[in-house]
Amino acid sequence: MLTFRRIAGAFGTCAALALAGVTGPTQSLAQDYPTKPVQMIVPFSQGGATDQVARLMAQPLEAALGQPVIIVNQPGAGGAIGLANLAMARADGYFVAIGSDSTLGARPMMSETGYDLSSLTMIARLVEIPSGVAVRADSPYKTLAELVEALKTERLTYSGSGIASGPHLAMAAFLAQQGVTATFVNSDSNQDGLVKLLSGEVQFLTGGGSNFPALFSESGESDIRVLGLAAEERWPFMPDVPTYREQGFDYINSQWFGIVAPAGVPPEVVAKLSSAVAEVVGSDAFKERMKEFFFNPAYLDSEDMLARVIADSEAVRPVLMELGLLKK
Amino acid sequence: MDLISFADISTGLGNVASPWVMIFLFIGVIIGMIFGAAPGLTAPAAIALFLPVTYAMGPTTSMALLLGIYCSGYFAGSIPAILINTPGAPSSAATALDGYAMAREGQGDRALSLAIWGSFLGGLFSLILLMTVAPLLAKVALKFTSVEYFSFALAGIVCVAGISQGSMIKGLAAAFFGILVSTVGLDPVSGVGRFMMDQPNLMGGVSQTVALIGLFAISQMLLLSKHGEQHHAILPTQQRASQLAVLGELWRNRWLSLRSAVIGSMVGVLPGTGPAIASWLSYSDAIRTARPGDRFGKGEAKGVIACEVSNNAVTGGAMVPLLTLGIPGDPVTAVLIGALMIQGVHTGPFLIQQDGGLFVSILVLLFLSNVLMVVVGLSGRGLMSRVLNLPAAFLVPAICLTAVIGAFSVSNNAFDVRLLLIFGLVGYAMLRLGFPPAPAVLGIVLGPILEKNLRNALTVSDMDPSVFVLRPISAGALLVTVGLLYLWLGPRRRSEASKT
Repeated sequence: MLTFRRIAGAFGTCAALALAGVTGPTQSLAQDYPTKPVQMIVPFSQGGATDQVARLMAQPLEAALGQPVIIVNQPGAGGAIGLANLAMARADGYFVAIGSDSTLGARPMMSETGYDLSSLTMIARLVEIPSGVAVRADSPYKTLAELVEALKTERLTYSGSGIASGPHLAMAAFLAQQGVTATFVNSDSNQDGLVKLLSGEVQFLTGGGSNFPALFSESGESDIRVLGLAAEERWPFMPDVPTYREQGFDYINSQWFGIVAPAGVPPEVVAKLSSAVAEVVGSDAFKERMKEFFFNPAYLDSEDMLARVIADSEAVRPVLMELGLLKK
Repeated sequence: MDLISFADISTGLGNVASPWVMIFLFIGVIIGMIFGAAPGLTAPAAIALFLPVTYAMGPTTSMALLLGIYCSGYFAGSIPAILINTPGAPSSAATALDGYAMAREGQGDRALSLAIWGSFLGGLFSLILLMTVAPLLAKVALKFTSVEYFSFALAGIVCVAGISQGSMIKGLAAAFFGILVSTVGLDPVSGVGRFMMDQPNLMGGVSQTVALIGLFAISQMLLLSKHGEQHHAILPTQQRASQLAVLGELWRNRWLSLRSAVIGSMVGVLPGTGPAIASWLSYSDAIRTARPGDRFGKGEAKGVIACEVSNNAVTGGAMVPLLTLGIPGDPVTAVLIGALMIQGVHTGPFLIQQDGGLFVSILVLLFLSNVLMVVVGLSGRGLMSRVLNLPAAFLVPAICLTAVIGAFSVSNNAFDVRLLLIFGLVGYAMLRLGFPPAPAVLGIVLGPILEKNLRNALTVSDMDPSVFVLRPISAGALLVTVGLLYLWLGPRRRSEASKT
C-alpha cells in the first residue's frame, strides 16, 4: 500500500526530529554535510505562500540531501522574527529559512529587525510570481491605463497583503514611476485584501499573480478583473491578461522566494545546498507541483540571488522614503 | 438555482463511503480531542502538524483527517476549561466561567455533557446553514467593511461590562490591560514598533495563546500550590449526569441554543474573526436575557450551553467564505486552503460548481465528525474527570509542563516560554487582587481588531468619522452597544445605590 508507506515516512520524519534533538551538537565536517536533519524556518504561519513554498520544497530536498528537512513555523512581524532567529542560529548549514524579496530587501531598512543582509548567507532562489493588479468585475476601469488616468484626478484606495509587503511595495513603486498616488489600506493577507476589494472598501488590489487564477471559472467568469501583470511576457497561467509593458508601462516586478542561511556558512555547504536546490527546482515533478500553486520555478545561485536582493533593495529605498517607512 | 446535482451527491457519498476515510476521520477526532484539551496545543496547530501526512492521501481522506481534528479540537478546549479552569484555547475561556463553577459543585460531568451536546448542536446548525444558504451568507459577509468590523468589535468590548460579575471597574480595567498588551509589537497599519523594549521577539506582539495560558493555567496552578493541600484532589467527587436529563436541559433552553448557534455561525462567516469572539458574544447574550434566579458566573448551565453551541457553530460558518469565495473564515480554514491546493483543488467562488462532489463530501464529513465527537467525548468523559482525582502534587506539575510545551509550540520560540511565566505571575497577581482574567483575554483578542479596523476605516474615509453612523449596519451595532450599556449600567447602578 503505497499511501500507507508514505504516511509512515512522514511519521518517520517526526521521529527523526525527536532524535535530532537528543543527539545535540556534534562536530561534523563541512565535506560530510549533511549528516543530520536540516531545520527550515518559515517566518510566516501555516497556509500562506511562504509556507506553501517551504512544504513543497521540503520533500524533494530531503531526497536530494539524503537527510530529513524539518519545517519550523516562526511567524510574526512580517517575517522578521523567523529571520532574526535564523541570523542567531549556528552557521553550519543545518539551519535555513525561506526568505523573500520583501523580507530580505525592504524589511531591514524599515525598523530594527535583528538581521540584515550582512547577517545572512544567500543559498538559492526558488520560485517567483509576477506582481499584478485587479479590480472588481463591475469596476469602471477596464485597463491599467484607465486606472492610472483616474488616479491623476481622483483619490482611490487600494489594498494588498500587509504594510511594506512585496505586493504593497510593487504597487507603490509603480505609482511613483507614473507620478500618481493612491491611499493604501492595510490588510493582514492577500485574502483579507480580496475581501476589501469585493466589499467595495477599496478600488483596486495589488497581489501576486498566483492569487488570481482560482477566482476564475473554466469559462473565464469571475467577480474580479485582472488589469495587468508586471511580467516580461504573458503569464502562462493567465494568457488573456496583458503585461504592463503591452499597455505602455515600462514596469517589471515579481515576488520571489529563496533559501537563506546564517552568515558564515562554509562555502562547501553553500555549494552543496545550492546545487541540491538546483536539482529539485529543475526536476519535472517539481515543475508539475508548482503549477498547482501557480508559481514559476526561478532558480538563481547564491551569488545571483545576492545581486538580486541588493538590486531590489536599492529600487525600493526611495519608495520606502516616500512612504515614510524608512528607518530613522 | 439548483446548486448541487444528484450526480454530485452520489459522487460525494461514494467518496466518503470508504474504510480509509472513516478510519482517518476517527483518528482526526481523537487527535483533535487531545490537542484541544492540552492547554496551548490548539486545533490550528494540530492541523498544521498533520498537514504533511495528508500529502500522500486523496482529497476526501485528507479532508476527513483535518475536519475531524477541526470539529473536535474546537470542542475539546472546553474540557480543561470546565475541569481545571484552564481553557485549552481562547474560544473556551468563556466556558470556564460557569463550567468550572459547576465542577466545583460536583457538577463537572453535567457541564461536560452539556458542552458535548451543545457543541454537537452548534456544529449541526451551522452545517445546515452551509448546506442551504452558503452563497447568500457569503454576500452578507461582503457587506462588512472595516467600519462594520470596528463597530462590532466595540460592541464586543462592551460585553465585558456584562460579563464582569464582581466589580465592573475591575473587569473593565482587566479588559483595558488586555488591549494594552495587544498593542505591543509592530503597529499593524504603519509598521512602527511599539513597547518592544529592544526585543526583536516582541515585534510580532504577544501571542494570544501564550497570554491565555499564562493568565489562566499558570496563575491557577500558582494559586493551587499556595493553598498547600498537595495531597488532596482539587475538586469534590463528581456526580454522574444522566444524558437524558442533559438533553432535556438543552430542550428547555432551545431558544438560547438557537440564538447562540446563529451568533456562532455568523461570526464564523465573517473573515478575520473566530470562535473566541463567538463564544463571548453568546455568553453576554445569555446574560442579557437572564431570568431572575439564574446564577451566571456561579455555575449556571446556560452559560456553558451558550458558549459551547456558539463556538462549534463557527466551524460550519467559517467554511462558507472558504467554499464560496476562497477566503478563510478563521485560522483553521486558512490552513485547509493549503491542504486542498496540495490535492489540486482550488478553493474559490467556483468550487461548488466545478467540484460539487467534494462539496458534498465535506458536508458529510463535517456531519460525521460532529457525531464522532459526541461518541468519543461521551465515552471519554469518565476518564477526563478521573484526572481530577489525582492529588494536586501530581496534577500541578503535569499541567505546568503541558502549558510550557504548549507555549513553546505556538511559534517554536523559547522566548514565548519566558512570556508565559510573566503572564502567569501577572495572572496570579490579578486573581489575588480580585481582577478577573477573562476580560483581559477578550481585550487581547479584540484589541487588534478594534485598532486596525478603526484606522483602516478612517484611512478610507479620509479621516471622516461620520462613516460609523452613516453606514446602516455599523449604526445598528453602535445602537445595540449603547442599549447594552444602558441595560447593564443603568438599573444596576440604581439598585446598588438603593442598597447602600
